[in-house]
Formats: sequence, structure tokens, C-alpha cells
Amino acid sequence: MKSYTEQDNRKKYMTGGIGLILLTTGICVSVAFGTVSISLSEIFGIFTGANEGGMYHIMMNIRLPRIITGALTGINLALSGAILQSVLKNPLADPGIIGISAGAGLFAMAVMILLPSYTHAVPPAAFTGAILTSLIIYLLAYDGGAHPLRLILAGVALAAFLGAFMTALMVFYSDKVQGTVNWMAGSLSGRSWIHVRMILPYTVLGLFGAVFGSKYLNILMLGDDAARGLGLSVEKVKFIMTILAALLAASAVSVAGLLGFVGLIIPHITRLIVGSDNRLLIPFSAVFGAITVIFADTAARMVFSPYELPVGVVMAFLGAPFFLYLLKRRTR
Amino acid sequence: MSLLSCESLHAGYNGKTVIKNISLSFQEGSMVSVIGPNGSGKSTLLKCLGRLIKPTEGRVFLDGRSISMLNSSEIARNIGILAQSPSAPEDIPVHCLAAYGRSPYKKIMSSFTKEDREIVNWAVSAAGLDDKRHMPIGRLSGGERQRAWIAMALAQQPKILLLDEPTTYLDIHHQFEILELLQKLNKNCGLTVVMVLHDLNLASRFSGRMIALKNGETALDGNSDEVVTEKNLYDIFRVKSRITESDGCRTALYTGVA
Ligand SMILES: Nc1ncnc2c1ncn2[C@@H]1O[C@H](COP(=O)(O)OP(=O)(O)OP(=O)(O)O)[C@@H](O)[C@H]1O
Ligand SMILES: [Mg+2]
Repeated sequence: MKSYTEQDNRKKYMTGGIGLILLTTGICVSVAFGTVSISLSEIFGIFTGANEGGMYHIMMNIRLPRIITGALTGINLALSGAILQSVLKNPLADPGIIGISAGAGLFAMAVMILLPSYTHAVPPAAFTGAILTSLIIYLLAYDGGAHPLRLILAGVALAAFLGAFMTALMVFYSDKVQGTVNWMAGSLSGRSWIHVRMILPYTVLGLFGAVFGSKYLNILMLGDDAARGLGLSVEKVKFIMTILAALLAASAVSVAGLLGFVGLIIPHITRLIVGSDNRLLIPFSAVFGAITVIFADTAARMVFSPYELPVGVVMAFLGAPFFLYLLKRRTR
Repeated sequence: MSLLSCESLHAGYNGKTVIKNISLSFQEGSMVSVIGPNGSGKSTLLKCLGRLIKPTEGRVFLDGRSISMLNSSEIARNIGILAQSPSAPEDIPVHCLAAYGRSPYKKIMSSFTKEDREIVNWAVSAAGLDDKRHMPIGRLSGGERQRAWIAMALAQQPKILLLDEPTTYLDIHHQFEILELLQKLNKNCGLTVVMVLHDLNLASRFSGRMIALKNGETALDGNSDEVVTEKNLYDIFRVKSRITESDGCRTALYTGVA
């Protein structure tokens, strides 16, 4: 099937080109700037193997893994948001808002605080939390079919509930919360190749799943009745895609904490640019998600240098006003 | 053998029964209207026939086979259904919306063939939207949008088309346009049409058979001469009326509520 707007092919190639340029620029800028600046010629030297000193260490073991972790986090969150927005037919859906991230977060946090020596158990705990939360949201909202609005409302309520649990954990274990404060806000500080390896399989799975599922998401957007009339197993597709979105969100939460707004605003902006065809929306959201998190994290490192902000703070500064703008546009 | 039929059908929502004991059969090539007051169960009946909801009792048969035994793509290749007020993203161009009608013919990985494209082109032309084929549906008028959805259903190449109030919100010109389109497809292509209509005069003009529902049960089933009578309109809709006959069509003139 052709994508929506054949005649707009040029716009798509341009968007794609600009995306790739931004991504490359973002990576270069992010590699180059920091407490220690690395010049372009030094970066070139590192790649050609001519430079193997301290700069090599800073770039290869500190900045690059952090950038890649950020990019993958951005991809996963943007994909998760794009999928949820199509499944729930609501442009304001996102893993943070409907409680999936909170579920992942609570479980991950419980492990970090209660079993601090089991860091490798954080991702599985986050997945368990995310999947359980999705199932609970489904159960709460199910009534002979999972109505999108009920799903969102159940999710919002559950997010608040789980958030309260997290706060309670932080209060009761205030001696152990050092690392968790940053993590609650969403941070990429000190992320290494371990984290890249932790999230990469899910990014690959998520990209395949979402690209493959995009044509079913398109049919789903015609409404449940029309989709069923076209022979689509509506409940099955919704369920599988929601689980995929939960996995993506949970893997992002495992490495970067509760980084909000990426899943909300990136698919939305992308939709404004490339339209609502999921076959374009999905891959472009992934690219823009990566770009946004890389730039936001660079800003988080740079703005108050040598102090670092959690990247989630920068995203919230940008994301919250944009969210309000979206609400205003929709209610007008 | 009838193309589509149902046998002692019961259905409802959340345990509440809405339609009761409905048995109907639709012959191939017929054009049928379903009428009845608001809430009488017309949409529910149509959704059951198009397997959008499962009946609590009774069965629906397509070509003599129970549809609960058929896979959903196979049903979609035979039955096209348009819900009461469908909505889709505004930026889908007409021909792309129509192209979704081909999805019941597609395996998971298979791509769009030349034949698919020809069928989509035919469906768009048949719906009279040739000059609007690239226009996003958000920029169409209500009548054109309705026809775009019909184009999608036609691209499905169904044997039977179920339409729920296809003429709502349309002015009289566009109402005629839709119904004449359906009549043409019925005559020329042998498409079986079952539609819910509120306008009895249009229903009697365009359909050979009318079925009236009341409180979830079939109250009347017959041709327009049998169904459109002063007594029946009084019984079913609680309106007083005078029936006139002109142009070979029975026309009701309503004079007040009972
Ligand atoms: N999704 C639903 N959930 C619960 N109840 C429903 C649902 N859809 C319809 N009903 C109920 O079923 C009854 C019949 O509804 P239905 O839509 O079949 O009527 P209708 O004859 O199509 O009416 P209208 O002329 O207004 O379209 C109504 O009382 C309605 O309240
Ligand atoms: Mg109805």
C-alpha cells in the first residue's frame, strides 16, 4: 500500500535528510562539549586511531556510551508513545501519562532501594512492573472491549497511585535515596556500555515490531468497527502493541529513569511534519526521539557546567509548556 | 439459498438484551431498508450481521455457513460494513482510505499489486470521487466523506454491503446521490444492500423490501406497500400521517404526533 501523500515525497526526503543531519550534528556536538572540550580534529584522530590518550578514554568510555544510551532511550520512548497514541487514538497518550513508566519505575526503584546489590535485576523488575501495570489498566478499563478513553483515565489514576508508592519508598528509605532522586527525574549521568547493552536488544525488537505493526496501527485508526469490518483482530492487535509499548518504555526506564515528555511530544511533532501514516510516523519518531534526547542531555551537561542537571529536568522545561500548548490547541 | 441470514438472534450490551429473536434472510441482489425508532436496535442488528458484535444467542449465516466458523478476513471479503458515524485521521487521501478496503485480501507481508490498484481506482470512480482522489478526507464535504467510506467498502469487493444511516447529516441532494449510487451498484453489479434509513420516503423509494424494528423485535417485514401504511406508522413511530402515492412511490405526509 502506498503511503498517504505520494506528492509530498520531497517533503519526506527533506525531513529524513534534516533528521539525519541533526542526528549527526547532535552526536558531534555532544561528543565535543563537556567539562573537557574535544576538538573536531581530536575526534577525527580518535577514530583513525592516531589519538589514544585521555581524550580517547573520555570519548570512548564516557561520552559515546552516554550518547548512545540517550539515543536508544529516546528511540524507545518515542516509539512507545507513537504506538500508544495510535492504539488509544489519543494524541495525548504516552507511557508516562498512562502509568506504564510509573509501574516500571516503582518496581525498579524497589529493587534499587531494597536490594541494592542486585542492580542487574533492575531491568527485569521494570519489565514486570510495566507489564503488570498495563494488564491492570486493561482489567480496570475492560468492559466488553477496551475503550480508549477508559484506558487512559484508568492509567492516569494508576500513575498517581504508583507515584505515591514511590514517594512513600523515598520517605521511608530516605537514607538510601541518593541515586534515586536523579533517577526519578530521568538522568543519563554516568551511563556506560553496560547500559547500551541493556537497552539495545529492546530497541531492535521495538523497531522491528513497530515498523511491522505500523500497517495494523493504520487500520486501527479507522476506528474499531471499521477495523473489525476489514477483518482485523482488533483486540489482539491492541493488546500486542500495548505490550510492545510497555517493553519499550520499561527498557527506557531501566537505563534512564523516569524520563518524561519524550514519548508525548516527539510523536506529536512528528505527526505535524509527516502526517498520521504510521509507516512514516514510526520511523521518523524514532529518529527525532534520538535527536531530542541527545540535544537535551548535552544541554543538561552544559547549561550549568560544571554542575549537571538530570536530562529529565531539561525535557520537562521544554515538554511541559509544549504539553500545555497541545492541550490549548485541542480544546480550542 | 439466501446470501445472508440470521436465526433467532439475540444480542445486547453488558448483559442487557437489545434485540430479541430476530430471524431474517437476505436474497442475493436485494436492496433492503431497516427502519425503526431511535434505540429500537437497528445498529445492533447490523453489527451482529456484520460480526462487529457477537450475538448472545442465535447464529448468522453467510452462504449457508455460520459466520462464527469463518475467519475474519474471509467474512471481510464477503461483507462490507459501514458504521453509523465512522471517523479516520483527517489527512488520509481518498484513494488511501479506499485502499484499506484491500486489506482483507492481503497476507501479512504481501504488497499492493496492479490488480489491487485497479480495483481501488474503480471503487473511487464508482463512488464518484475521481477528481477528489488525492484530497485528504478532512477537506471533503460530509457527503463526499460518506462516499469515500463507501469507496473503501467497495474496494473490499463484498457481495453484501451493510450501511448504518449512510445519509445522515446530508442534504437531500447528497442523500439522493448516495442512494442512487447504491441503487446503481445493486442493479449493475448485483451488490446486495442492507441499510438503516430514517427517512421512510427514501426507504420506500429505494428499497424493494423494508424491515421495521420495534423494541428489538421485527415488527414488520414486507414491500413498501405493506409497510408504509398510516396504521403501521402510527404503531411504530407514534405519528399521524397521510399516505399519498405519486410517481409510483408511497409517500407519507406527517401531520402530528399521536
Ligand atoms: N455500545 C453500547 N453499549 C451499551 N448500550 C448500547 C450500546 N449501543 C447501543 N446500546 C443500547 O442499545 C439500544 C439499541 O441501540 P441501537 O444503536 O441498536 O439503536 P438504533 O435503532 O440504531 O438507534 P438510532 O436510530 O438512534 O441509531 C439502545 O437502548 C442503546 O442504549
Ligand atoms: Mg443506530
